Amino acid sequence: MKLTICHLYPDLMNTYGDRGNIITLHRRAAWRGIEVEVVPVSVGESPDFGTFDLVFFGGGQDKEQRIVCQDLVATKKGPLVDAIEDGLVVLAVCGGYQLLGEYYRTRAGEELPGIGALDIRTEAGNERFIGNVVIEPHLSLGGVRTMVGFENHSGRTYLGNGVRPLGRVIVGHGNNGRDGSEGCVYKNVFGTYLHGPLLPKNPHFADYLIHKALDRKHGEVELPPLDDGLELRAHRAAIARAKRT
Amino acid sequence: MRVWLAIVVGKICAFASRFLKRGGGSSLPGALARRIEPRILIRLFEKAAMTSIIITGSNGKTTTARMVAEVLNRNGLRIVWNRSGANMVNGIISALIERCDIWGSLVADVAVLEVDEANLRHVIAAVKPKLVLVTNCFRDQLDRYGEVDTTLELIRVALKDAPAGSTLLLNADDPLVAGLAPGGGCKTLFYGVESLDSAPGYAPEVDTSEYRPQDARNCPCCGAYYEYSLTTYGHLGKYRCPRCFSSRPVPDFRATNVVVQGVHGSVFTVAFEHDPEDDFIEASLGLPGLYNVYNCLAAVACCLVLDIPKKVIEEGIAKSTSAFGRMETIRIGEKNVLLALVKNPVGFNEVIQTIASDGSRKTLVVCLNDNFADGRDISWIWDVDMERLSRHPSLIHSIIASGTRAEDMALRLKYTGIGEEKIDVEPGLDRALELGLGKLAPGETLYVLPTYTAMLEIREHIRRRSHAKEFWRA
Repeated sequence: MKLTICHLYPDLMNTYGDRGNIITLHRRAAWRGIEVEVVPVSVGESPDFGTFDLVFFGGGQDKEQRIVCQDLVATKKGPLVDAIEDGLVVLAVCGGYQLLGEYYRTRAGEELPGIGALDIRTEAGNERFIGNVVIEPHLSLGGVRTMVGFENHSGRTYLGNGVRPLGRVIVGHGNNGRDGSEGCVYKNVFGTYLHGPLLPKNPHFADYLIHKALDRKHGEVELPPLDDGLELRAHRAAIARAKRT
Repeated sequence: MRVWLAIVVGKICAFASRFLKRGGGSSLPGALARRIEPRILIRLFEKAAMTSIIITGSNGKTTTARMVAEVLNRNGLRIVWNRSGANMVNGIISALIERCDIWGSLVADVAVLEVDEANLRHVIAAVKPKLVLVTNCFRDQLDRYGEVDTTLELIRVALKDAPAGSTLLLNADDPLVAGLAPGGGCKTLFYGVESLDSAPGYAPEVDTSEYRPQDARNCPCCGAYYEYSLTTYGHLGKYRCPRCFSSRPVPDFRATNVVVQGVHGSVFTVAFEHDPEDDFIEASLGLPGLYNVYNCLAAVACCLVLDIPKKVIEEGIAKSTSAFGRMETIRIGEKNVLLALVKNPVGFNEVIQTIASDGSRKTLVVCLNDNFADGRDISWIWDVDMERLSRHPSLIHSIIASGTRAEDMALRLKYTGIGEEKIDVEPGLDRALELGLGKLAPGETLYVLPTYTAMLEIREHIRRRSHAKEFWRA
């Protein structure tokens, strides 16, 4: 069995430790004897998204996001939207999440177009949301009922009717600091503001994604359990820290 | 009168905090003095007829300031500097109050100030420096700044207030820093590394993967990817934009024949002016790592701008020792502790690169705190090429994860594939240190890699248990 992961713009959208998600997917699949290939895809490339089992799209700075925004619309929009409609598993974080939506409106009022795969709209806010986050996901992830991470964004994202939230904010700001929602889910696309290394401390969510990605190609796949003692210890410690700071 | 009161209160506070052994009192006196007289920094400099040098940037501030101070001291100049690395406004005021008399007169010829990027504007406006040095700009404390570009913008805005006739000294090899050249009333000079070499047996591994932390991939003018004919570390090197042809400025101070000798240090030549036949300095540096070559080059350039004789610079550099907690070796009984501050991905990578270079088997303590001064967000540890530690299975004997986010660090280490049996989790820093020391044979070295507040805590623990010098005097 093989898991092919596409890492979108690893060279530009990697500001907050996003590489941790790729490392985690890679290791957790490999520890179960699954062969893993990570395909970096960046500016000017138009791959066949049908060949990937899972796409990861991380966050970057405004400057890099502009370059990515142009390239995404020019070289990848059509095939990526089609693949998403077809059920491709995508994890998009922060800037990547915003770019899959309709647009990002800057404080100056300029609208940077996204690819419109997600029914979401983002507007720049005055204050940046920075801090530890704990959410309760609306997904059945097994025993652990929380997800933990860190957010650092000035965008306020509002969800349309076509998508549902990924979870409910317990600590932090989430999508917009107002409606208590965090991230979004559409088909097999998962968008979130929990930037950087989301998956190491949320091994249940990492396995959920691996599972979904493999199921598409191979039917019901059984993932043998791993010893997640350290992962869950870090998860609990992060919750404790988030509630204290 | 208010100035007088502020100084007296500051001095009493510094004395009290030292008497009560509550750390070095490196910021609190300044904070109190500023409450009494908000313009205390300006007042202190108004009275003093001294030259000021400001050093800022992500990495290398403390070490560079220390080298500059060493050389100036050797040249007979009386200096005042914030030696303990407390580089926000309060820390700087504390350092000055310690040195002035109660009337606010500073008996010093030169102030060497390392300044945090966010405090730079305030300090430049108050002290009117003769020279401002910007070392580099890497992703660092993004929970405070949001983005690297925000940090850069803070520096850019602050430099606009640099007085006419001052000199701006910039790292030519960092495209972000070189792009700060203002072309206003101040003179801009550049320094850079021309060529690299390695001593036999020392094998640097240049990380060229697309995952390496890279904060300046694209030309700011046209967005094209930079091309590098030489990468030294991080995004530093000889870069050029293939589309609009903007490129690294030709440095005025050039490090050539650089031979990095692993943990032992480096030797190189600094050429300057237009006659390389005559104008050069031989640097023999005892501090390890390529990043210290940059620190040294910057310090040499600084001293040359101040017209310090070449011979004095060479001697001062040769005698330079590690700044507090930066690759500092401390002897504890029959064992050694090497303390190497790690605070951002590029710096951490260079520390790993340097300590791994001799290939011997090591016991490590990695301490990750997430207090304000460390950065609340610890995501950056996933940007560090920790995999380097697992690539050579014989390199790590044992590794202890510690600090307020010990579990996060342990997890990062686990995902390098290093093997969970080699990893201990011990959040308490003093217990982690003792655990590490217990794993050593006599004569061996414990490598301790702490973030900033963890470093202060560990240093205090070592001081209590042995005879390490108090850090504010080191």
